[in-house]
Amino acid sequence: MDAYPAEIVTPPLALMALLGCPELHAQMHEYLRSHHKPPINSVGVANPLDVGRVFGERKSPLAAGQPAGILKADWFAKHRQRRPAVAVLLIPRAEVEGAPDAWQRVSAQVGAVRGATRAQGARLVLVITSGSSAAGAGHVEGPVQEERVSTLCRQGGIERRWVATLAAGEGEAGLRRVARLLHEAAGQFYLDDSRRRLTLHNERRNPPADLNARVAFKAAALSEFRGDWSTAVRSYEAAYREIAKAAHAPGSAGLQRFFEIAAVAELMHLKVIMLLLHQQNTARALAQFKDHLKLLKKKEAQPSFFQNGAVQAAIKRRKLGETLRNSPSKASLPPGGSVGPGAFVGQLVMTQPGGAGGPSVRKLSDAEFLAHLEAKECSTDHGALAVQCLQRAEEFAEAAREQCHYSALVATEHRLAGNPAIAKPLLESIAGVYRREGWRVPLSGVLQELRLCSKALDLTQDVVAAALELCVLQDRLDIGLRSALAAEAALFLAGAQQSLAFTIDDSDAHPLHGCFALTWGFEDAESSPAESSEQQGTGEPGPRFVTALWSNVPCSLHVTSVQVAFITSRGTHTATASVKPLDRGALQKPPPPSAEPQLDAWGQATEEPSDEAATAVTEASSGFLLEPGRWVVAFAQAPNPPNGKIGVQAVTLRLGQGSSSISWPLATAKPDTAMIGAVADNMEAVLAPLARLAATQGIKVEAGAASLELPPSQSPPQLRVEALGYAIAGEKVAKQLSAGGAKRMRAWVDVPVKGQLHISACLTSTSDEGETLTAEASLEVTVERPFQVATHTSGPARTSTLLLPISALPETTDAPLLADRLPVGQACLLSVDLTITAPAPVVIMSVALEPPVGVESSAVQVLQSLGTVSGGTGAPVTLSKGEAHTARFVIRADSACTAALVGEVAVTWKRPKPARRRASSSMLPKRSSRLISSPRASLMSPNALPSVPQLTQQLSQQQPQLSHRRSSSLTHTPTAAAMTHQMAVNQLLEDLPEDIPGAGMHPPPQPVTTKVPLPRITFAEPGIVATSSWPASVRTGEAFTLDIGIANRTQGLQRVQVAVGDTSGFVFAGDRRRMLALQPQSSTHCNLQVVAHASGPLPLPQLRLTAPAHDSFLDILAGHTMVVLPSPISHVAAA
Amino acid sequence: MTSSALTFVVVGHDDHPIYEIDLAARGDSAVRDDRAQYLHQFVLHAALDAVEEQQWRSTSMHLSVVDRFNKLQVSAFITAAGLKLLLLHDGKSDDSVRQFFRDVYEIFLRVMLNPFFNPTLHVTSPQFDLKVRTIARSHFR
Repeated sequence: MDAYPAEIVTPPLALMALLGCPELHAQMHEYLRSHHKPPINSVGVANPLDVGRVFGERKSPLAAGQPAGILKADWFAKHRQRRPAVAVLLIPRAEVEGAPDAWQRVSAQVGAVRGATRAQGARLVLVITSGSSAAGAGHVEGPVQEERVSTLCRQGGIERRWVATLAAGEGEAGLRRVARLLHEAAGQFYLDDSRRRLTLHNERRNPPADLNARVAFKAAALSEFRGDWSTAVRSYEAAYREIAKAAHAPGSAGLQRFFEIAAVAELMHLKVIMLLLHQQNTARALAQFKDHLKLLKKKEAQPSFFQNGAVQAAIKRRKLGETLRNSPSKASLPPGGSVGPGAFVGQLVMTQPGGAGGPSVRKLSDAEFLAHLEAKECSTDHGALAVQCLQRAEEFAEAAREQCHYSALVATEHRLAGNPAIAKPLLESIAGVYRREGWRVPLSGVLQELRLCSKALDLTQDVVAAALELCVLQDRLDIGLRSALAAEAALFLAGAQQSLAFTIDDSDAHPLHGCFALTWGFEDAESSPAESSEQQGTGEPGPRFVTALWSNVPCSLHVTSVQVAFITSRGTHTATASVKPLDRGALQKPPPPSAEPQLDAWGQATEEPSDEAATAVTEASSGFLLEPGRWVVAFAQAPNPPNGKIGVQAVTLRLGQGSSSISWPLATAKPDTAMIGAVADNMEAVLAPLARLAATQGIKVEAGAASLELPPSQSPPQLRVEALGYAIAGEKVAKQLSAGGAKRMRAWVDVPVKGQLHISACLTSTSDEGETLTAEASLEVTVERPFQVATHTSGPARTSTLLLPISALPETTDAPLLADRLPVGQACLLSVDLTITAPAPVVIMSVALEPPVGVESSAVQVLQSLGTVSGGTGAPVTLSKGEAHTARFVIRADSACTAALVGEVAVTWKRPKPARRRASSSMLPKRSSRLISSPRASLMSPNALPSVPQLTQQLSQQQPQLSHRRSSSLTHTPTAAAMTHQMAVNQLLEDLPEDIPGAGMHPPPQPVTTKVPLPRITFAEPGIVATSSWPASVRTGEAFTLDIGIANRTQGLQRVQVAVGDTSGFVFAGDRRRMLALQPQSSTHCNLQVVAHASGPLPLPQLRLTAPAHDSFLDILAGHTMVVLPSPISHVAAA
Repeated sequence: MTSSALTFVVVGHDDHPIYEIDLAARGDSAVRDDRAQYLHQFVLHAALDAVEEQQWRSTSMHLSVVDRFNKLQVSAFITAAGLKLLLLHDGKSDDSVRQFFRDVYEIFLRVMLNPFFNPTLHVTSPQFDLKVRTIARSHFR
């Protein structure tokens, strides 16, 4: 409304001309303007004889035919400011009743005023003033001589009632009486003027629509002057209908004509909707809006919705402006001429300097009009206009996704207007939405804009990130464009000018999630090839770390090195991984020392190295090429962990000249070999590379964290080996050694975490004849894990928080991956789920949460242990395979922290009843005892029997080979003397009774404590906290209130949308979506009236709280149920 | 099939599009107007809000026209599993759109009955493409 002049958008006021007695003008003007309702404007003329210049001469009636224009541009201003409706002649009483010369002067004044007002039909009111200020208030003089008053009425041609007296002593009461009379006279004038115009117009034959519109408009305006609003609306609507007819009449096709009609229609439309909205008649106002849009629909289809139409129009106008500015041939106006508004609404005229007669004013030709429009458009800032229009549309948009659409358009306009810094955060926010919801076409459009913005801002890292993300949108962009984008990104990554560092976490919403894929794990110690220990040289080797990399980027990336950061209790250790061929022959025959690391392609793992691979080997002196669509597997030797535990902190690719890097933080990743990232949609590639590694190379890969256990303790050779059917990781398995049933001994063996436990024994005996025989027996025991541990955290009950990013905390490279987020200062729930994976039942005795090892004071406090779910009272519970056991703990952190260590879960468990397995039994799948008769040994003398330490050493060397042999049953029993001699030196062995077969094979189960480190948890300050409350139970059909309290704890305005989703079982009143604006540090409540129409434990309605600015949402009531009791209606009916 | 805008999308859970096809393009060799494709996808994505709003107001699977953008209209169909079938067109009759949805839903049910079908992955079956095109050709001739 600011674009329209004040006389259009404010109600018109009547205008009076105060004549004579200038000392009273200020007082009367002030009263009429400020105290009278409605206010009255007035102009003062000191000498009544000069009244002619105020009223002027009446114009001659309009001749028939087409008028020069529809509506005079200054008609409203003229009647509000320059054409009085009433001439108020102020006559001093002394002159009325005074000397003859004074009376003659008064008569002349009345005559002059009558003559002046007759032309315009203005009303005349005579006010006889008397008294002075010295008389004081309350002083009232006698009545004026009626004879003189009658004479004045006759001379003025007015009735007696238009003569008033105003005494100085009357004060405000007198002024009020005079003002009421003047208002009545003005109303009479406007009514008479309106009737006169209508009567005159009715006498015309076939008036044009323009003239009809003009007359109706003026009649409406005159009704407005007198405060007759209903008549004014009707007249304005009639005028609008006439102008609509004029718009569709023949001859209105000219551009100038259309502009004039549009301007007049806009003015009339404005008056109509203002009056209708003032009368609160919204329906008619909306109809008027539709009529107006329909009227202006010229040749193109008008958008269905206003905001969409405004947006499209703004963008088209901006494009038109650009076209005009860039046009080589521009029309020009005549030199020296200036274009300005004409006398009629919507008309433009050309003013040119003339000769002696002054400047000449004429209408524009069509060519000049177009040239003027072109020049005007070229000087307009269309970019700013488009942005303003789009922002309005964005504000009006109610749906979040529609706002996304408009935000994308706003960002584009900002970029085109030269404001990439404003556009970039908008685009990043929108890209997050499209990325999360998987809409790749809009995402590609937004990413292209984002890339252009980043390029304009010279942000190389963001340019590369956008290019990488764009180039993997396979079915959205042409391969040529994708290759160009990938080549651009590769150039930046390979260059040494800028160091680019990308960190890819396991979040699906990460921009580079679709560019690369990575799996990782630790190689099983028993399946690791011998070369791993050879690489370490002397000393015990640690486990080998295996990682497989996949690139979807459609060009080769030059990788300088693959670095793996390990973390042990001693600290962090970084190792450089080597990329090796994976075919079986290469593993059995290690490459010569001079051979360089090779690339590996999983699809060609069993084939001969191709020329391409040879080229890669050649190039590998300075790294290797990470090619698209091929798995590359890298091995890294981990250090030997002091306490048997080791983890991986990060895998980093050094690219190009080493200054750029892509890293995957694995410290807080879940211990699983799940893939980070995604590969292209072909099933061959989707196959897990590490599983294929195990299938083709016999290399077993553990999950992401490994525990390195010592090999089984060496035991003196015996003939028979018995053990349990399977072992559970963490416990000690009993190994019984017996010699033909004569001597039985037992040893406890620590089992590894997972895999196969090989137990072997060797017996050397000497017969009485001096013949030396060697018997070997081995057994393979499968090691099973007792349980799987899964943890999940949840915020305080019935309280949900929208956590803001932790900007205050510095980013650390130690733990960049955030496992979970919880609010600070609130008691949160940590649930530990144990799922039994062992084949036999397991007795869970206790589950405890222990502080982290090596950390003096943890940021996370364990407030309370809520016990277990399955056990109830915390008593030992026996669980079978597949059953779950849950322990819950209450934790809290008092300060924000990133990836805080929580501690370890200590699970104490035991076997209820171990199974038995005998190696000599034919029922067992694998029999592992073996007797070897050594001819060489038979030549040896008894003195040649090796000493016990030598024998032990010999066993340990044979052990790897024994595990691959298939053995036969025991056929020989050694002498008791030899056995006794060898067993006595092994302190690990226990004697068992000989008379009871099988005694000692079922020892009482010993409790085992398994400690599992918990994933790190991030505690952050909640920005927005939502609290919900509802009654504990309700009855069917009974309304209750679901109260949602939302608190904004930030220092900025937060917009939060509350959306109701699935309300199965309930009906509720109100809108499904509400947008709330929360002032900084404020809170509000959102109540929902809900009625349950079903009974039983019902899940509460789905309620989603969304903070669009932070790109996050919360399902507040998810997981909460409510008990709904049946309605007591049946009971009432029975009574 | 002579219309300038006819895009069909199946939106899976979590509002991920799992199947998209431009039915206005004739075959693979058709030159796609990228700008129009972008606009259509923008409009379809923005229409999800309207679909979510209107699916609770109707007991029918066919929601008719749920959103408009200039001359473009978005019709929606909600399956029993909560999948959303969206069709962007420029003013097709509601009856033909309803028939189109019904026929496509029938063949999409067969896709879902495939034991290897994953509702979170894209439907890439060329046979499904062919059938959808055939249905569209028969209803929007």
